[in-house]
Amino acid sequence: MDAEAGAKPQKVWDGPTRLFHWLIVGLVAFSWWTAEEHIFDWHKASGLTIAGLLVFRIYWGFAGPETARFAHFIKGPRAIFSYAGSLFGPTHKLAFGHNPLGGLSVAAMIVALVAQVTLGLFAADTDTGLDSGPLSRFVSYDFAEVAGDLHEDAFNILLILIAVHIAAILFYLVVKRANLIGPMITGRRSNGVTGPAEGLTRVPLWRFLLGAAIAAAVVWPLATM
Amino acid sequence: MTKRFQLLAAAVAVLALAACGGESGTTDSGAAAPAADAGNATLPNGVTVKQQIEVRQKSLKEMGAAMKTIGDQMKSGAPELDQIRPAVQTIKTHSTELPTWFPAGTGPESGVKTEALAKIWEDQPGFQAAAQRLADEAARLSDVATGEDLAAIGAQVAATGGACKNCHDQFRMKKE
Repeated sequence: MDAEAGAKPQKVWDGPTRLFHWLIVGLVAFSWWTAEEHIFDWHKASGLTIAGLLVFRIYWGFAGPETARFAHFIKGPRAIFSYAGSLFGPTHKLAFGHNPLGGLSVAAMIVALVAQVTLGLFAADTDTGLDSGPLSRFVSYDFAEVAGDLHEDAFNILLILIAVHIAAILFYLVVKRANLIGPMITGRRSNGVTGPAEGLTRVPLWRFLLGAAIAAAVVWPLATM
Repeated sequence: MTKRFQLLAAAVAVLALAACGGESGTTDSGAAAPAADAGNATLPNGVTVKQQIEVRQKSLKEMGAAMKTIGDQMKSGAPELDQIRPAVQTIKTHSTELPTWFPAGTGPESGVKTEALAKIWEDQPGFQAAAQRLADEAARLSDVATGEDLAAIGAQVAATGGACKNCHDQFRMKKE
């Protein structure tokens, strides 16, 4: 690792992916707080913003730069077990982007967030029947009630996945002496380079704008419903 | 960073709570077993405890569904009074019946699954006041809904929903 310490910082995370990450961190915390405090208007706004971010992130998983792509980080069981087995071996190197285990964790969090947001769209508040998701009025009371209960219960699954994610980051920080938080802020990493030395290739701006437009087109009708 | 640590701490707390929940679940079933017969006991009004709790839950669900019907109409952009008025009547009628749904012996001590808290019977004046507040708001809603003033109806729907919530907050089991 020392031999590579002086290498030029390698770009591993693009701006939109980092922005997505930190907005999700903030908005999940905010959604949680507004749910506990029953500040429904802000909870709904937060959830719809998360919905838009998820639409963008799924698009970006196909249209974004290499490390943001699902094809790059969603691996089969063999690759995952092989990576886990080599974690403490002498050949272990930091991955360029998500490692196979981390990719699994990210995919699980995205699926959990999509489920959480979808349930919220249909959920109805059974206290007053008034504070409900934008699609709640198209479904029956029983359906909306179940969606609301699951929306509350499934949040625990999301919290567990977040706890695992943070525990893994702490493991890399303490045991593997690798700071994964810095690169998610700056986008750059300077030690243990794998993958292309020049880092990420740039993606044309129009691809980002198209993704933002798709996200807005999905969420806007829900927000004004 | 602090945010992430708070999340972690809270997630661990949730895991711990889930574990506690599991434990209390086992003690619950142990406590419920001797009281299982209480569910079949007949109340002074002639129905069994179990039947009374079923009627109560069905009726409260009807009120919830009626509130949803009204709320859905108000949010639809073109509320239809023909849809709203019958739902308002359901709420008004049920609101006057509500105090009769909770006779003594139909609380959690019966062993029948219910979200009704023992506090209903321990604080009867408080419970009756909460029920009266709902009956008053529902009566007002019924009056307003005879007219066509959607803004006034909307405001009174919110006041009625507030009365629902007031009682739930005090007398219904909280979700863990």
